[in-house]
Amino acid sequence: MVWLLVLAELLTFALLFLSFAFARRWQPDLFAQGQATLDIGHGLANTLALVAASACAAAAVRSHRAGASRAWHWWMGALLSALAFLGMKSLEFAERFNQGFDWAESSFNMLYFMLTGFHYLHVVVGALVFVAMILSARRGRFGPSSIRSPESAAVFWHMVDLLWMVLFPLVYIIR
Amino acid sequence: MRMSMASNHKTAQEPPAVPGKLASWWRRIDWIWLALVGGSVLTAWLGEHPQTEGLGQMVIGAVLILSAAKGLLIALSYMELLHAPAIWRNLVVGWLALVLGAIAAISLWP
Repeated sequence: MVWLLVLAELLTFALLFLSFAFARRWQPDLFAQGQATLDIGHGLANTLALVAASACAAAAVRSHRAGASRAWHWWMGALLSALAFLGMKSLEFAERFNQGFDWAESSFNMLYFMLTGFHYLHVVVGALVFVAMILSARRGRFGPSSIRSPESAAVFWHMVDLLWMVLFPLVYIIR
Repeated sequence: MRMSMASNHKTAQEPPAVPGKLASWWRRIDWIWLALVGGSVLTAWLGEHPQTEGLGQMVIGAVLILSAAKGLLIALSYMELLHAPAIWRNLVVGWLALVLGAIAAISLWP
C-alpha cells in the first residue's frame, strides 16, 4: 500500500520538477535573479539533516528485525534530524517572508514556494510518523515478526529524501 | 566456573581486543550514509565554488550524475528495492532516470 502512495507522490513531484525546469528555460534572467537569493549552504545543511534521518530510519528497521529492544533510539535520531530540517526550513521561510517575499509575484517565487513548501509538508508528516514509531516501539509492538509498519514508515521517509535529492540540485545548484 | 572456562576460551580464540573493536566499528559504519554525505557536499561545492563557474554545462551534468547516484543508493539500499519485486524497482529507478534525464535535456539543450 505504501508503494502506491510513493508512486503517486513521485508523479506529483515530477510534474513540479519539470515545471520548474521548463519555466527556468523560458525565463532565465528571472530565475537567475531568484536563485541568487538562495543560500547553497542552507540547502546542504537541509540535505545532511534529511540524509541523517534516512540513515537512522534504516538502522531502526534493521534493529527491529534483529529484535533489539532499543530500536526506538534510532527512531528518536530520525525524529531529531527531521526536526532539525523543519527548524532550518522554517527560519528560511520566515526570513524570506519578513523580507517581503510574495509567492504570487513571479513564476520563480510560485514554483520555489510550491516545491519547497510541498516537500516541507511531507517532512512534517514524516516527523509525525516517527513520533508514532517511537511510541509503538517503546511499547514493544515491533519485532522480527511484526515489521511491516516500521518498514512502511522508513520507505515513506526515504521517498522524502529521494525527492530532495532531485530538488536540491534543481532549485539550489543548477543555474 | 562456566564463566571462567568461557573466558579462557574467548582469550584463546578471539583476535586482540583493539583490532576486534576496530573491525566492529568498521562493520557498523553506514557506508550508504557516508556516500550520500560525500555526494551532497561535492554537489554543494560544485554549485558554490568560484572555479567551477566557467564550466557551465559540465557542472550541470556532473551535478545531475551525482543526483542520480545518490537517488540510486537511496532507492536500492535504503528503500531495499534491490531485493524487491522488479516492477517496483523498475518504476522507482525509471522515475529517477526520466526526471533527471528530462531536467538534463531541458537545462542543457542549446
